[in-house]
Amino acid sequence: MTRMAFVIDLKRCIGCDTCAVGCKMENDVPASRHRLKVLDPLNEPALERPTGAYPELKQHWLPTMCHHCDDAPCVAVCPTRALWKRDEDGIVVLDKDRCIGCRRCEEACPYDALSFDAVTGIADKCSFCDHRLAEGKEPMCQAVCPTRAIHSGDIDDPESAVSRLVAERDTYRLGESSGAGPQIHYLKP
Amino acid sequence: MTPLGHRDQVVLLGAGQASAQAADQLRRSGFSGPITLVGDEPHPPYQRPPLSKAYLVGAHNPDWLYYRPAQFWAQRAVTLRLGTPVEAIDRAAGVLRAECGSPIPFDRLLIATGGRARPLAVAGANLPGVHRLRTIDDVDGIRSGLDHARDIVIIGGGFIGLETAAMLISSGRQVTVLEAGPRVLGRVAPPEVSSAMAAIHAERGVDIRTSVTVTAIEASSGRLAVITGDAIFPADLVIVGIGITPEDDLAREAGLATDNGVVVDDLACTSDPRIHAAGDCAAVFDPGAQAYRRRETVHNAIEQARAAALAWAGTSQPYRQAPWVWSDQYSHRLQSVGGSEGADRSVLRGDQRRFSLFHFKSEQLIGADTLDRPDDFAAARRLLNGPRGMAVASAIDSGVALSALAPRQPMAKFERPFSA
Repeated sequence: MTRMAFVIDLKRCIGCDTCAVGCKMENDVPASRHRLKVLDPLNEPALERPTGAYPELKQHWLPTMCHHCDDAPCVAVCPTRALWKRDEDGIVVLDKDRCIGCRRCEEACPYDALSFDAVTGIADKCSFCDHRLAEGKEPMCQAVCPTRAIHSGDIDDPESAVSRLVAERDTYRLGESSGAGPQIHYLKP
Repeated sequence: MTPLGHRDQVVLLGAGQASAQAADQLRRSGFSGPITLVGDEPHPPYQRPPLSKAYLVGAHNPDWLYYRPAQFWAQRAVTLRLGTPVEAIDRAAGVLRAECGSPIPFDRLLIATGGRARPLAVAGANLPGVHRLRTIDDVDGIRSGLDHARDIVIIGGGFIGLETAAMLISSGRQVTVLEAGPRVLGRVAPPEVSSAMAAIHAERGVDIRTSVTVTAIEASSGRLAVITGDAIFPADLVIVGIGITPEDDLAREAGLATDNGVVVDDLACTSDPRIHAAGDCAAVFDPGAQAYRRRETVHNAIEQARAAALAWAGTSQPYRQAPWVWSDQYSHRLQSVGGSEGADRSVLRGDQRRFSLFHFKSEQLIGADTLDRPDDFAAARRLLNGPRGMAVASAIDSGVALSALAPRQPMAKFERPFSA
């Protein structure tokens, strides 16, 4: 069975926010809302905040969006099944027409991956650009990344590029101890 | 309680939100034994809230009514016995006795039978063209009569009545709402909310009559006439939405404790430790009211069922969250959390058209009603379920951001420092 995952190379990420901009444009994400954020190690929006002393300065960033968890906490609490895990590819899907704006998902998600309309409360989140996947294209964040830090593919296929990257590099997943099985694999810098 | 063994048979009686949640939670908790879900309707578990909203006028994908796609139940090895009315819970034998077919044995039973539409006890209440609104079949019946219906009378000004009125007047029909109480939403919302919603409906042309008692419904010349004390309301179609009563007959006849519902504790356990109950049919003790109360909300069905399933799986997580409910009418979203009963002070933020109303009792926040202010609703729920609460002064001071009083759960942090 296919299980779509992101693999993000933190050694390549330069915190330029192009992925966030590309995501907004592709998915028509309104101002003040987000599907993807790039954070610095203090969990704040990407800033130039290097550590160390010149010339040994270091800086890393963390692009994060919906982690499309195996056992997604948002899916477990959604009262209307507006959020559900698609069997065929593991993508956590949001049907906005079924969303009642209760924001239980917000309380459950460890990744702050959802944003909400200020009047209706209707949720929004990363769709893995499934409309692009259906056309054989990669997610927009991946397509626009100037340093090719973002990869996506079937993590259950040992021959896939993402599986090879995970096998070859030292990786970790954010909040893995939650047991949710997040499917963004970060390659350590 | 002894955790479930993998040969124990779990039976979920009722095919609604609570049973669907319990089945899901049991499988998530690792239970691999047999689960049987028994329902008297022919449909797999479906959602009732859309019935009085978009589904009523055919604007809702019918497939979306169902909690899960059909294959879900087979994949999780949940046996569905639908269209199977149960006539008795035989606790001594540990079986359900169905009206037809073999008995259904259980080691653990969840009673999630929900409620039945409260009947209108007047002459003519069963005439053709007079409908209740509780099930898919009820609504399909209404829809089949809508094509030729211009004048519609809705009896009952609660959530169901007003949501139905909003959908039907938006589809070009004349709608009259007859409410027995002095205001709409009188059982579920404070007067300020009732006034706001009544004004919204009046602007759209809904004729709302309060303090009106229906005494009879008559048929004449192919139409209906709803008779009240001093008026007659002609109608092509009548919808009755005057609340529900709990389906607790089976539990009572089986000797379980009942009090306007199946009495349960905060783990959803009945007076028989093998049997739990959840959802609209279950009554839990309310210390504030010193009485057993039912909570007819989706949230309650989900959390009670989850508490029951977790208890069976060996994890006791009492359900003590503030109840919440929502209602969509036109483009407006009304959201309530906690309650306003017993409040000695209410604080309004916003204006008459878009507001939040916070209710306090002895300086403690006990609930909030919000109209088109979902951020306030979310913050109020965090405040009510969290340890900190909110002071009256903070509610009054519109300069105080609720999000600051009730911060969202922090995002998962970097779990180890990056080192190149």
